[in-house]
Amino acid sequence: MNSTRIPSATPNPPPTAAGWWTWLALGTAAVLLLPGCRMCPGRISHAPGSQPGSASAPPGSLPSPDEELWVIARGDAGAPADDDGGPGSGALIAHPVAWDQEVPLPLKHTEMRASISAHIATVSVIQQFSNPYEGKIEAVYVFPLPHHAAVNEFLMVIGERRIRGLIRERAQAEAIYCEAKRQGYVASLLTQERPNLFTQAVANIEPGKELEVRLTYFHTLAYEEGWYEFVFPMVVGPRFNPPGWTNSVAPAPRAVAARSAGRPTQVACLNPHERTGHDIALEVELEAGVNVEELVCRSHVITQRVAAPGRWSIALSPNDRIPNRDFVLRYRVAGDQLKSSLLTHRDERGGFFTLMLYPPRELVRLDRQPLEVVFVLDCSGSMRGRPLDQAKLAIERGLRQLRPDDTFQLIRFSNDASAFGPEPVPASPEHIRRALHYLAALKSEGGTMMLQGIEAALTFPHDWARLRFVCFLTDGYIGNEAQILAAIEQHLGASRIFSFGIGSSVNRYLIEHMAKVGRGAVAYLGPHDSAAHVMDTFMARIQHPTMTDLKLDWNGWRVTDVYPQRLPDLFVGRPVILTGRFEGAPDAEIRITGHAGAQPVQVSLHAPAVQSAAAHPALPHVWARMKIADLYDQWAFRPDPGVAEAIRKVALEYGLMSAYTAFVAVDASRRTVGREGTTVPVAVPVPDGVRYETTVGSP
Amino acid sequence: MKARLAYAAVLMSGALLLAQETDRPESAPAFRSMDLYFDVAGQALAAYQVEVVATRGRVRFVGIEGGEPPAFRSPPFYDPKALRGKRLILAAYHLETTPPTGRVRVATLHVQIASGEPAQFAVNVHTAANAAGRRIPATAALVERNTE
Repeated sequence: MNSTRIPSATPNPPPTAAGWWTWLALGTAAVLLLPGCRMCPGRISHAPGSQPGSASAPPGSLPSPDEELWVIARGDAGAPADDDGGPGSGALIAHPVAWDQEVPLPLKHTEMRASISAHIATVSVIQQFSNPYEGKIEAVYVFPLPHHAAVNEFLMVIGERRIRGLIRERAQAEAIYCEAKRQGYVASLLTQERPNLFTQAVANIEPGKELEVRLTYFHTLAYEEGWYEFVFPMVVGPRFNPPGWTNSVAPAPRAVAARSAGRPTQVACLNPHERTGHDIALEVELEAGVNVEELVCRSHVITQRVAAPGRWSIALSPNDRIPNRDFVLRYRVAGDQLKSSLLTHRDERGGFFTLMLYPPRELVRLDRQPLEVVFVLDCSGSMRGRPLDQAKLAIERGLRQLRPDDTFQLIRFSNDASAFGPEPVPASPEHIRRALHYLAALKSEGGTMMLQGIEAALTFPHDWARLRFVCFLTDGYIGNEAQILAAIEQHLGASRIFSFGIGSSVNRYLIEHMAKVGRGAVAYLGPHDSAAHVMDTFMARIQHPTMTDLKLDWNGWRVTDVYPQRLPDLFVGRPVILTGRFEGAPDAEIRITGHAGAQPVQVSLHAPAVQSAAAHPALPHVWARMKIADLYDQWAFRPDPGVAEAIRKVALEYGLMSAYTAFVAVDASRRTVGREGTTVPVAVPVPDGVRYETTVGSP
Repeated sequence: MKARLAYAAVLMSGALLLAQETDRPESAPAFRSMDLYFDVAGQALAAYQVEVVATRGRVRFVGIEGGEPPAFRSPPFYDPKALRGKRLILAAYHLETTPPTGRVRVATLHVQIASGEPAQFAVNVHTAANAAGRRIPATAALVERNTE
């Protein structure tokens, strides 16, 4: 542990309110003493998803969270203090308390450009970094991407020069980056902390200089009841980590964001009264292939126009560019919603396909069995306010639609879990009335001990006369996703989990994987969505049986490596997407068999002849990403070095990001002057609707 | 400590040799930049595929930069599968701008070279084509850039 004192350095004064900068001399303020950078020797490094107790690193003397100091890591643990204030110096910046205080940070601007064709989106993200200080810096930015994004391109742009990053084994990429940083070369490194959470590090940005990092990824779109949904997450929510969990994703006031004791991924949070100059621009080109009948964005103000017949152009309004919530675009397409579709692509690697499989019409005509519905409500501090209100409205709506022959239970959790009653009760008017009273009294406070909520919902005796549906309402702001998913896998039994993501920037990886592992479905309830509509849609869906025990007969078509390997159940209104590899021409009837209740069901799908090779070049990456996701799920439940190696192999072969691979780019043509700079975490606002006080701490 | 490499670049038949001086710490790898040139004589270069292999030394490719003419300013694509075998297969094409002729810097490769052994590279042109898609004769060479 290094205990170097960090001397002060003068940042470039902000162009306007220069008066509110105050400089603190050393000795009059606390100084942050930090180990080296997160990727480099001296800083704690964890294998993604490692278990509690796998690492420890006590911090040295650290400032208290309420101190107004920030920044702050010296990369070179062994370097002597640099007292000349020149490049490489640490920086100390002090702010007087002021409302709407602007904080200069290295991330200036983010730009997202998406192109949607059929049900596949190709997305380019540009992050513009600059150095507003007088010393060199390393910028570190923790940011979200869709968890099913296949990130396959990484460019570092310095002025007119564009340098393509290469995919490497993660440890190797980190070592290259650290050495380049140490020697003074401009370098960038992209690592994955969770499937939906990434860290961008850019080393040796010189004072006044700018550079860009450009990422490209692909993903498939979600579809439900005639609507496609495109989501671009903008901010990482403040996540709770249960005691003992070390591989965490933890929020921290920006003043102490560089502290990394036992917490490899810190999300630096702006105080409530602070803002940054960081803004976002966003454009979506939509070519659905069929008529778009309706286009809705409730999360943001957008402009939209028909660029050409069948082609829409959507952009974020210039007045709505604060990146503090997910961008959610939904569009309804014309045509037969029950028609399955197959996309194929063939290149020198062979054939790839995605199959969007819709439930058969027969399901709509069948009635459901009696249910045992368990509502599980996250009452932790991050849910305070609008999220909890929305969740309560949804549960109330759901309770009122239960039938008398159904039973229900209501469970809340935060620091602990408790229930409406000792066991599920019939959905009689009296029980519903009492449950609504109980629900209304629930408050949000404390941590998110989700494991206790999972166990409370899944471990009591099953009433075999009823299907057990567990409805989990949460923002998913936790850092121990692997532990939660493993618990679901362990305790699921015959239950089905329906997860509802509540809020503006939920942890979609967790929410969707709870439903995936729980063999259920997912729904999202944003702050501007109708809780009644979301719950009505869910209740309408479960009024009909699901198609279970799915089996596919490819009927002579030579198909291999289909993912997900465990086929999910089919629910009315919601298709599943399968991806796989093939040989030969897919010109056959694919038969899908299963059960709806006790009744056997069969549907057929005609697979057309293979399309042109250039038709869907993203498909190999989509397939590889889905394979990696399937392997990662296996690994999360049962850590196995063989699975990790399999992930590494696929990711390297297809040039994709994963937990075990990373992109690195070094500009070796020029060495910057001076030693490596100060590490500056890019602080972000807490998500819209989330309270800083109940998630990060006292500002 | 400021590390320094002097190179003994021997450019012959598409091979480049980078030797290391002794004032660098034993364990510290060096970073170098090498320009990749194509020579298509009087032809116009619209597309190419080339293989770069480190035949000597412990070398890691750490960045691929675009070239000089506007047609090749975007960095070429690489084959990630080949990279696993420590080979770099690059490919680029363009359709819009006027193809360059003669000797063209099509890319710059950034590499990390482990200490202790000089690095040597071989360059093998897989193909080069003009705007009509016809193959054209081409040679390629790597030239180290002075980065100090």
